[in-house]
Amino acid sequence: MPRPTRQPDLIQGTLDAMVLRTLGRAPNHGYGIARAIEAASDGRLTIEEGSLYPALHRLERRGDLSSEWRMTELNRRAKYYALTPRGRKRLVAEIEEWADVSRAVSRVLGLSPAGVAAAGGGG
Amino acid sequence: MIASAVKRVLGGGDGRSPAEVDGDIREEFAFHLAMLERDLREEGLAPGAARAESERRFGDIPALHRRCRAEALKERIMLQKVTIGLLVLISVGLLWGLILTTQRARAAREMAEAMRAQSQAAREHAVEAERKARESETAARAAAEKPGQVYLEGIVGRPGTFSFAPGLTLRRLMASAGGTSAQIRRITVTNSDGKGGQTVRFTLSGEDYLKAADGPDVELKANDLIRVE
Repeated sequence: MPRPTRQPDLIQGTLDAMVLRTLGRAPNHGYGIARAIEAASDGRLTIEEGSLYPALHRLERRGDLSSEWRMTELNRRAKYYALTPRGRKRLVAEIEEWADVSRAVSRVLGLSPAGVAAAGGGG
Repeated sequence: MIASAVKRVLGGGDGRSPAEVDGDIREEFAFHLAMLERDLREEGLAPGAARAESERRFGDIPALHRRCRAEALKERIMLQKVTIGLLVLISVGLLWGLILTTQRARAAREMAEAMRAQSQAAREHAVEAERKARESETAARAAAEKPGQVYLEGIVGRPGTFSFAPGLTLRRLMASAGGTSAQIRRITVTNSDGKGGQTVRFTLSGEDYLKAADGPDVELKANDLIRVE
């Protein structure tokens, strides 16, 4: 089993940003979002999968996401989330904020921007 | 934006009932667990182990369900809290008002009671005063109406004390006392005022008195003292 048993804690804002970024590509259900985040981070970031749902419900309540129940390819009902225009603005703000924080942390750690880009793997 | 916020608050979020929200969360979780279990089995895990692993990776299902529920129903829960708070405030206000009204009513009743008692006492006092006045008036009238007496002394057949009755005259009194002598010189009638003072009411010469039986006569009063000399 290649997955780590201890999953790194993710701060709420970071999780929100990753969810918004994933849904910025295409609407998806919770399971699909979890797999997309895992794949995009090359398996480095795995989240406690259930913790994704309170974040999805919170973002939906705030109007950043909309949702609808659809049938999947396996002929099973799933709740699909999509980014709203408000959520798209929020995604831009979150990315800018993360870039600021990332740059500040990199400076403190003495990493070059190239090093950060290499470590972060782009976006 | 304000309208949608108001709608969300009044409608309790997206309009789903708490039971519907619970059902949706359960179905959403079930889908996730089923998909994860399927992938794990495809990776080679036995069915039982795949199920256990998917649940382990998902996390604390009841706690996550509660968190999702709280997020989905946040406005409604907040509205319920506000409503309960308002109801408590209104209840306390009503209760306080009721207590104040009761206290005021009791104070008014006590004041009315005191005034009634005071007025009753005044009435009783007035009745008592009236009774006393009546008694004293009756006593005065009785004293005034008392027949009383007249006193006769001097040269008469039978001097002494005689009962007085309205209409009693000097000559009648003399007749009652056995008449008088032909030598009388004077008759003096005095009256005591009951307080120690004496007033001479009139004098009559013996001559005038003796002239004739239908001569001068005078009406007597109670307590008259008639002196014949």
